[in-house]
Amino acid sequence: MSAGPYRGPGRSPAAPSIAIDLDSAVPLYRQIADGVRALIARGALADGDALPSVRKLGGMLGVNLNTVAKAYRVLADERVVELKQGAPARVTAPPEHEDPDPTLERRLHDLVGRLRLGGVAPDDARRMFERALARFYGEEEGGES
Amino acid sequence: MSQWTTIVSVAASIAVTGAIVEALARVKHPRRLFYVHLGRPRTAADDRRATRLRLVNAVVTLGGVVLAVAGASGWVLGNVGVFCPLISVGWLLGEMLGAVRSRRDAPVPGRYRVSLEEPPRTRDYVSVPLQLLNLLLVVVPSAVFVWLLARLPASVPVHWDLAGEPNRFGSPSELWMMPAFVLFDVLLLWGIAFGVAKERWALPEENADAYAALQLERRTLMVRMTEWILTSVNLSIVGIWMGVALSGLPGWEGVVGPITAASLVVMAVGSVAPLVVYLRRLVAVKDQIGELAGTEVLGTRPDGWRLGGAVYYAPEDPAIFVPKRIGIGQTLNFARPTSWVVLGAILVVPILISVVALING
Repeated sequence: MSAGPYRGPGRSPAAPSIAIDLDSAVPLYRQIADGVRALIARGALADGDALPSVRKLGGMLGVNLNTVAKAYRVLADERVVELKQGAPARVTAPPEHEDPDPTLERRLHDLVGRLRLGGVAPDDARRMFERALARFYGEEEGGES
Repeated sequence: MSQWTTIVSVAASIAVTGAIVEALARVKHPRRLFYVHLGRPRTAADDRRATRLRLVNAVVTLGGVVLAVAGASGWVLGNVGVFCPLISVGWLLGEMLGAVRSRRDAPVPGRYRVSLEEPPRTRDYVSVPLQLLNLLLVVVPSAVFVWLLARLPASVPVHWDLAGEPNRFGSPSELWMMPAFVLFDVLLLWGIAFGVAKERWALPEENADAYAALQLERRTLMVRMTEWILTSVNLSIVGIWMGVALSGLPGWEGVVGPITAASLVVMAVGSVAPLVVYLRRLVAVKDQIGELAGTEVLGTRPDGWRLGGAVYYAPEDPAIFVPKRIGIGQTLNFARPTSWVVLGAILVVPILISVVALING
């Protein structure tokens, strides 16, 4: 069955994509914000790239437009996305050689505390962190894992 | 139109309906009955449904054809032509409803991945040669008709009774409604392709490539099957149009019967053949999709499926067009007002045609 020229999703495994889990305890706006942030971090979305409109992304993902708008606001608060009235949301790269956000380390501390409360032993926590690092940088280099 | 043409047309329409119902009743599939996905293995009770339908359909169809041929009066022909297909299809729908009520479905997984790249668009699904053919089916007969109009008398027969005698005369320009029907079919096809392209391009976390290829095939098959059916309907409309127009010329009165009969045969064959060619593959593709993704409707809201999966009503989902969970085509998200507008637009033309036909007798 030929269907004409087609270079859409599924044909290029490295195509940027966002995962949605309707059953997850993580709110949908967080999932979307995390997904977009991960794409920026991996370089799949670069400085100045326009994000889909709230309406379009909502339709693509199957979530309410307000949920997408909330995700974009979260990203704008983190200064990884720039929102302008009447213009598409755009990716803004962090300035070169800027010191890392000091709150990041505090959040990592917080996460360690949560792992401890969740009954995760230090060795397991270390392995989880290594696995997350390997997965992130593995995907960055080799496309989808 | 002569008497035998009417008999052949009525008998053919009963036989074609009977053949389609028989074909649906004979579907052999471990998890489907009449293409309804049961969500569980097929049982002896399901087989009994199929057998019962085949029996009723055989009696009604054979009886109808015999009555049409032997009955011969216009009254018998008219009633047999309407009621036999109605009984067969009605019984089929009744058995389908029973099958739907006995379905058991695995839950729809809420996990999926959406690519930010543009998915295939409407025109990626439409066949260029078939659309060119449909364009020719408007342009060429229109040119011929303009040439004929200059040679036709002011009043020509435009309607015939069941015995084949003209019972209404009118201006030949009334026949301009025929290319309007053809254009409506073309618009309908583009509307269907648009709806198909609008379906969410959600991919499973695993086997995304294989899944995407199957989705593309499923969507293309749906559009291609409809395209062939509508093209044959258009061919038939053009045949009847030209037949009626030609029969208005002095000395050509006899052509309308054979041309109409031939056109109806084209429509009958053209409606059934694409089903025979495409339906089996379409069902196989849908089954493979279900196996890969754990559902046939990945990307829809699990809680949106109501009435045993027959109706999709998901206020949180912006989608208008979604794949059917039970059948093989598409359905609408009835929680969105736009879906009701789409439904109205699809229904308005057939209703208008029926009303006009009723007014004209």
